[in-house]
Amino acid sequence: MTRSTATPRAPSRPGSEIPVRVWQVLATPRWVGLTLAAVLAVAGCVALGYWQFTRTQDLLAAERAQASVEAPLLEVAPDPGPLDGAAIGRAVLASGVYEAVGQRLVAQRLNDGGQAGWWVLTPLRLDSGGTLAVVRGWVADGPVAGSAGAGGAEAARAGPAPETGAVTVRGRLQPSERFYGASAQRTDAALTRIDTGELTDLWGPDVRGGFLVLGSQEPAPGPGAPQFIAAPVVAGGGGGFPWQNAAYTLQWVVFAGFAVVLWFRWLFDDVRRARRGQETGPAAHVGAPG
Amino acid sequence: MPAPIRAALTRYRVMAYLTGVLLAVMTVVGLPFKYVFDGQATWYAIGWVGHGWAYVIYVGVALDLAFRLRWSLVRSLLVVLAGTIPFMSFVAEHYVSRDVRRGYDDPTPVEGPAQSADRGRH
Repeated sequence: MTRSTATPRAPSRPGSEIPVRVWQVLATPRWVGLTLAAVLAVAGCVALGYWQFTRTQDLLAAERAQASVEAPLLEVAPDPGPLDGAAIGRAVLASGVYEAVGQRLVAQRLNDGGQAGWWVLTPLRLDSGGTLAVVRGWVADGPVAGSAGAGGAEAARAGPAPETGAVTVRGRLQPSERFYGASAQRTDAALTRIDTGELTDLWGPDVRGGFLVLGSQEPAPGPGAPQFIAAPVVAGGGGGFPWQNAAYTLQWVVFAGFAVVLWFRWLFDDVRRARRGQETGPAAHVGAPG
Repeated sequence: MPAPIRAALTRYRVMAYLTGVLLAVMTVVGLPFKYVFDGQATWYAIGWVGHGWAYVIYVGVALDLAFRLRWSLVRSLLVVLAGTIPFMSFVAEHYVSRDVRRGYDDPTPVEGPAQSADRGRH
């Protein structure tokens, strides 16, 4: 920037001020240039911030896309033990036969509308061996009254009966619900959580870790079947949330703010100096390159 | 040196060192870790995000110093950009500190109203 003066300079005397308007300073070539530079700086910062914002969105979308690519169960979770972190939330498909006698209701579960009811949990004997716990959906009605107590096995069969014969299930994997201590014992034989350890006691030692929340099924469930529930989609396997790009987005916005603040500080400093008859523009007395 | 300038210079120097050290570590250790050894670690992202915010503060305090010392726009930008090149913030800090000290230790008095007329154009 070249040095220029806003107004005809007069030697300043104490108590006297030269009447200089802000627009008179703004109209000088120096300030036209500085204003243009400030506008360009803000536009540049906003553009770069927007670019980082789209980068963040793209990375998140790529993660979601990766999480929703459907794969056979044994590819996503080859180990029948507890679910790997990367397998949680993944979309899988598996084939087998439901075992109606092992079906249980899980108490105090909401449907997607937030209505309280029961989840229907059915063991699926897999064609590839092993048993997969499948949440077939949500029902409003619990175990049939009167069948509890001595007839616990009757109550245990509560809930719509599953399809007989071979089925292919598609859905999302969820981890075993082993959050608290021992689960509460209920007189109606319903479960309070889906815990692989407890299911092993019920269904045998070949129960796989975690469970599947059913999203679709072939053949399609008939009328009266449990309502499907949405399983949480968890992005996994990638680098996680793109903190770097998200932070850069915010930082570019801050830089744009810096440009505006500096413009104002310099402008009003120059106005003040012009009113006192001092020279405006960069000072030569300190910190000058040399 | 007036106390506000001294304080602004100290703020600038602290941030120049902090930003410079973070950037040096992330380029000398972080980049080979990721791109040569294919490493994946949380500290890598934390390091860059930390450097990013340190640099934001660096820019803030550098522009504050630039305003107080009435640097030219070009000089201000050069000092700000020095923080983005590995090891350059140390170099910039050295020259800025030297020039500011020299400016105030100079026997010619600091500019006042009486001097402004005979200083003329540069």
